[in-house]
Amino acid sequence: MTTPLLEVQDLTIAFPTPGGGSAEVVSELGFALPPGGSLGIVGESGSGKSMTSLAVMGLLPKGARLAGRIRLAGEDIAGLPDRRMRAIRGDRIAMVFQDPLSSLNPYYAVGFQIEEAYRAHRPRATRREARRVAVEAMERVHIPDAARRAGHYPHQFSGGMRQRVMIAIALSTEPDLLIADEPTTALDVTVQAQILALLREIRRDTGTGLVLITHDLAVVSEMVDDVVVMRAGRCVEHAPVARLFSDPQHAYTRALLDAVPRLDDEVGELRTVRAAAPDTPREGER
Amino acid sequence: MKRTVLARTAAIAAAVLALGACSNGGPDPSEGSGQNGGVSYTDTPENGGTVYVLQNADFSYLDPARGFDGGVNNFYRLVYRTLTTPAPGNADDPSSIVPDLATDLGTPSEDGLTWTFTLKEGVRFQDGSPITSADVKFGISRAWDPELGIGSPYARQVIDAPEGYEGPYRSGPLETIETPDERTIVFHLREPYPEFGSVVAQNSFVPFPEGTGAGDEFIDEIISSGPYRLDSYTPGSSIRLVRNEEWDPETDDVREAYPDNWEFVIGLDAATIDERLLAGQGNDANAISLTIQPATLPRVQTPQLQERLKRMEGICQTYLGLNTTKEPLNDVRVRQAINLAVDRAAVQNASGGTQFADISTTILPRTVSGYRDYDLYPSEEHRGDQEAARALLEEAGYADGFDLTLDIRSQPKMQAQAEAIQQSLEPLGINVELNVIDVSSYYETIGTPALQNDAAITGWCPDWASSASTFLPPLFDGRGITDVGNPNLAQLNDENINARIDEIRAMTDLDAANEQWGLLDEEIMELSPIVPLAVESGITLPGENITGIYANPGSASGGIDFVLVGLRDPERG
Amino acid sequence: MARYLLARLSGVVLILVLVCLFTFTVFFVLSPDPAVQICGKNCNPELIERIRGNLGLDEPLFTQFTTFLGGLFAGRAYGTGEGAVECAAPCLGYSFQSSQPVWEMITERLPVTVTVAVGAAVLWLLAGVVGGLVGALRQGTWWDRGAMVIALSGLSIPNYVFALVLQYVLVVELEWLPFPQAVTLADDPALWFQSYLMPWIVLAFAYASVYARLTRANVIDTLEENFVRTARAKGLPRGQVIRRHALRPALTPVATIFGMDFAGLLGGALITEKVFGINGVGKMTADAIGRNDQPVIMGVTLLAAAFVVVGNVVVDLVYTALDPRVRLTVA
Repeated sequence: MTTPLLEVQDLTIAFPTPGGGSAEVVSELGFALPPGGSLGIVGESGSGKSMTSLAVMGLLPKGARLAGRIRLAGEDIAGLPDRRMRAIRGDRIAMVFQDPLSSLNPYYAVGFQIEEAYRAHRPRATRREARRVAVEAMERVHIPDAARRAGHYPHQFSGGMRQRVMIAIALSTEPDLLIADEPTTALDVTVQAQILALLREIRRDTGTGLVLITHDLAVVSEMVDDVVVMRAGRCVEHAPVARLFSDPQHAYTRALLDAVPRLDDEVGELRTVRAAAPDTPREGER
Repeated sequence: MKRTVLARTAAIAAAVLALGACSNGGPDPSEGSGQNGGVSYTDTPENGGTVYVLQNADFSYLDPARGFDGGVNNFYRLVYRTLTTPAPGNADDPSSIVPDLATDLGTPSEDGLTWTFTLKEGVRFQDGSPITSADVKFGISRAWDPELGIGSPYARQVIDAPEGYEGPYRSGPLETIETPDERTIVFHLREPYPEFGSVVAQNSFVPFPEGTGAGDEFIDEIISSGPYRLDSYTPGSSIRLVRNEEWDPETDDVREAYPDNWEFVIGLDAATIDERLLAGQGNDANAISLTIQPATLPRVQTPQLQERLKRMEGICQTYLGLNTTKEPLNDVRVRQAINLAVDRAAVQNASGGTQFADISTTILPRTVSGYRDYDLYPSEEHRGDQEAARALLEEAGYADGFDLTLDIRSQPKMQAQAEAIQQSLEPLGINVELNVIDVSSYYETIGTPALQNDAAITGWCPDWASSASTFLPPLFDGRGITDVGNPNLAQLNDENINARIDEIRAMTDLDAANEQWGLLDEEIMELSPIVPLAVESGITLPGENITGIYANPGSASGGIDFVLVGLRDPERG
Repeated sequence: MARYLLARLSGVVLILVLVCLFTFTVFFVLSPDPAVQICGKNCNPELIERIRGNLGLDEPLFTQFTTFLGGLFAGRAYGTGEGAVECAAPCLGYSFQSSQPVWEMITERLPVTVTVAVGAAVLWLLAGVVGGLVGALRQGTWWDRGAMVIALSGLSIPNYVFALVLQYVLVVELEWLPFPQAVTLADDPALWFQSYLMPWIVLAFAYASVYARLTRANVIDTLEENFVRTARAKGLPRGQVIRRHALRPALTPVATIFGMDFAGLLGGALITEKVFGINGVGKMTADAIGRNDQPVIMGVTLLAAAFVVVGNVVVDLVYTALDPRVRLTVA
C-alpha cells in the first residue's frame, strides 16, 4: 500500500478557556488521503472542519494546543517549527479560502500576488519567470485576457474571477495537496458550478490531491471520493461518497441529507438539524 | 554763553547727598544701591573680540527717523552720531548732554530764535565721505516726511518749517535750516527754546548723505556715522556690526568702541536668555542682555553670581494717575488722602522688592537732572498714614469712602501693584475695582479722556535726562490735553502750573531752570494729581568676560551704555 | 484626472475666498479701530490718520474686501500719490509696524519653518511608525506597554513645558548640546544640526505619540485581515507578511493624516519656535500677536489656511495612488 498523501491520526485541537480549563474544538479526528485522492470534510459551522485544515497548514491561532499526528507523504508535520513549515506551506500544500474578496490584498495587482507565492518557494526565479508563471496560472484557471489582467487589482474582478485568482495562486507552485475551505460558499450558484468544474479539471490534469471543506453536501457529491462528517469536533461518519448518500449510518448524517432542499420537495417548512454544534471553540460540548 | 551743566549738577549731587537719598551713590546710577559686590565693571576693557547682546524683541527700526522707543536708542549710539548726545555712562554727570558731532552745545541768538552749531573736523560716514552740514540738514529734514518721520517729534515741534513741508523727498530741502558753509549749520526755531542743545541729541538729528534713505532703503541697510557699521541684518534673528574704519576716535569724547564686532541675537525666549547667561557657555561669556526676569532671582543667590550682578537704576516713574475730572477725585483733599494712604512699601514688594524698585515720593525720578528729594505725604517707612488720610477724607465729606475704578494692564506685576493699592485704600472705605485691559489696547484707553476711568497705573520716561522739561509739562500742562493719546492722565489744567511751566521753559540759564523744575515738582504734588509709586529698576547679569558696564540714563531707556562695553580677554569664547 | 483637478481647485479657491472673507471680517469689522491696532505701541495721531488713508478705511466694507482680494492676485498700493506703499502680488497685507509687505516677511522665514517641519516629520514618522509597529507585533508585552506609556506622555505633556525641560536637561545640566543658534546649513552644518535637534524632538514627540497609537491600532486590525492569512498560507517569510501585507494597508490612513499634519505645520509651530528663539513663521506670528500687528496675523492666517486646504487636495490625490480601490470622483 502506498504512503498516504495526507494522514491524520487522533488529532485533537484545544483552546484554553478563561478560568483555567480548555475546550476541544477537534477531538480525536483521523483520516487518510491517498496520493491524488480527494476527501470531503462536511459539517455545520463550528464543527471544527476549518480548524482541521488550519492545523494541517500549521496556521492555528496562537494559544491552540495540538495533539495527535499529521503526516504529509509520511513526514510528520504536526509539531514542525514555523520556519520549516513555511517551506511546505504554499509549496506542497496550498490552500484556497472562502471569501476571495477579503482574502486577496486590495493593494497589489493579482499578478503580483501570484508571483509572490511562486517566488517565495523558488528564490532563484527571476521576476520575468515569475510573471510568466503567473500568467500561465491565470490562463489555466480560464481567466480571459490573462496577460493584461495580471496588472489589475482584486476589486476589478468579479467574485468568480477572484476565486479563480485564488486558485491560480495555489496552483502556481504545483502543490501535491490542495485544501479548499468553502471555496464556493460566497459565490452565485452558477459561478459555483464553474469553480467546481475548474477544480475537477485541475485534478484531472495535475493529479493534485484535494481536501474539500464544506457544509454543502450537494457540493461534496460530485467532487470527492471520500467524506468525513464532523459534528462538534468529532468524526461521526467516514464513508465513500456513494455509500454516504445511499446508506447513511449516523442519524446526524441522515439529518444533514434530509436538510438539503430538493426541487421536488413539497412546499413547506425547511427541515433543520436540531442540536446545533457549538459555534465557538471556547464552549466545550460533546 | 557757555553752560556749566557739569558744575551745576555736581552741586545738585552734593545737595541730594545731603538730603539722604535712598541709595548711597546720589544721582550716579552706575553704582546703584551698592548691591554690586566683587566684580568691578569699571575696569577698562581690552580692544578686540565680539560682544553678544541677547535679546527678546527685535529693534523697531534701524532708521533713526522712525525709531523712538527706549530699546533702540542704545543701539543707535553704536552706529550713529548726532550734533549732541547724552553723556557716557561713566561721566561725572551721566544725565547731561554733551557735544558729539558739534563742537559745543550750540549758540543761540539774542532772541533765542536762531541756533548755530559748528561741526568738528574729521567726522566721516562709513564710506569715507566727510559729514557736512548739508548732510546734517538732510538727515534732520527727513523727520518731516509723513512716512519716515514717525519717531521723535521734537524736530518738527521745535524747528520752524514752511506750511505743508513734507520732507526732502517730496518737498525738497528745508529752508529754515541754513548751511552757510560745510561746517556751520543754523536752525530757525518756531519759538525760543533754551534747551535746543538737548533737542539736537534726538535720533532724528542723525546725518545722512543727501538723497539717501528714501522709502524703505534704511529698513535693512544703514549709513553709519558712528564707530560701527552694519554688516548683516536678519529681521527677527540677528544684527551684526563691524568696525567703521572711518570713525575717528579723536573726534569722539563719548564712545570708546573696544570690541571689533557686535552681534545682537534676537528673538530668544526671555527665560532662555537668563539660562544662557547663567551657564555662560562659549560665546555667552561675552554676552550681555537687558535685565533678568524676576523669576530668575532665586537662581542667582550663590556668591559667585551675586558678585556678577549689576543693578541698573530705572529712569522711569511708575505712578497712579488720578483723573481730576471724575468725582470725588476733583477734590484735592481726596487726592491728597490717597497719596497719604497708599502703602508704597507694599507696592515696592509687589514690584519685585528692593532689588527691583525704589520707592518714589516725587514726580521726577532721581536720574533726571533737577531732581529734588522731598516727601509731601510722609508716613512711617512709606507704609501709608491711614489716620491723616482719614482726617482729610472726613474734611472733604467722604468719611464713608467711595468707589474707584482703576485701569490696569493685564500683566502680573501691574496686577500685584494694583492689589497693593487696593488693600491700602480699603480701610478708608475706598472700594477699588480693577478694570483689567488687554496690553494692546491699554494705552488707547487711558490716553483717551472719553474712555478713561477714575485712575490708572502707568509709567513715564523722560525723552532726555538733562532736564525735567520732557517730564513735567507733558504730564501736567493742561493746554496739552488731547482727545487721543493724551499723556496728562490727571487732566490737570491749573493756570498757575501752566504759567510756571511757561516761565521755566523760557529761562535761558539751564541750571537755574533745572532748579526751578525741581521746585515745580513739589508745587504740582501739592495738588496731588498723581501718586508716585516707584522707580522700577532691573538687574543685569553680564557675561564673565564682560566689563565696562554703565547705565545710560540719558538715552530714554536707561539700559547699558553699549559704547563703553568691552571684553576683558578678547581671545576668550 | 484633469477634470477632477479642475473641480477640486475651484473648490479650493472658493474655500480660500471664504476664509479670506471671514478673516477680513474678524480683523476689520469686529476690531474697534483697525488703524490704531495696526499702528502699534509707538503711535501718534498723524500716523493713525496716514494708516487710515492708506488702508482706505473710509470706503465701504465691500470695496475694502475686493481691494484686498485684488491685491492678492495683482498686487496693490496702499494710499495714493507720493506716499503710496507698493505691495507686490501676492499681497497678503502690509505691516506698518515693520514697514514690510507681509508676504516678504513670510518668505524670509518660511525656509526655517520648513526645516523645522521636515526634520520633525522625519523623526515622528520614524518613531511613530516603528513604535506603533513594535507595539502591535509585541502586543501585551512590556515593549508594547512601554511604547504606549511614552506615547501617552507625549500627548499629555504640554509643548512648552517639554521644550524648556528638554533644553534645561540637555544643554544646561548635561551639556550635550549648545543653546540653539541661528546658523545656516552652509555656514556650520554641525551647529545647524545641533540647533535644530531640540525643536525637532519637541515637535516630533507630540506627533509621534499620535502616530504610534494610530499605527499600532491599524496594524493590529490589519493583521486580522483575511488577506494576511492568505499571505501566511502562501508560506511567505514573516517579515514579508508584515511589511507587505500588514504595514502597507495599515499605513495608508497614516499617510493621509500625515499630509494634513504637515500642511498645518507649515503655518508655523508657534510655541516651539518661540521657546527656542527660532526665526520662523511661527515665531513671527507669535510676536505679531503680542504687538497686535494685524496685517501679519491676517496674512499668516490666510497662508496657513491655504496650506491646509491645498494639503487636503494633495492628500486625496495621494490616497488614490496608495489605495487602488479609491477612484477620483468629482463629487
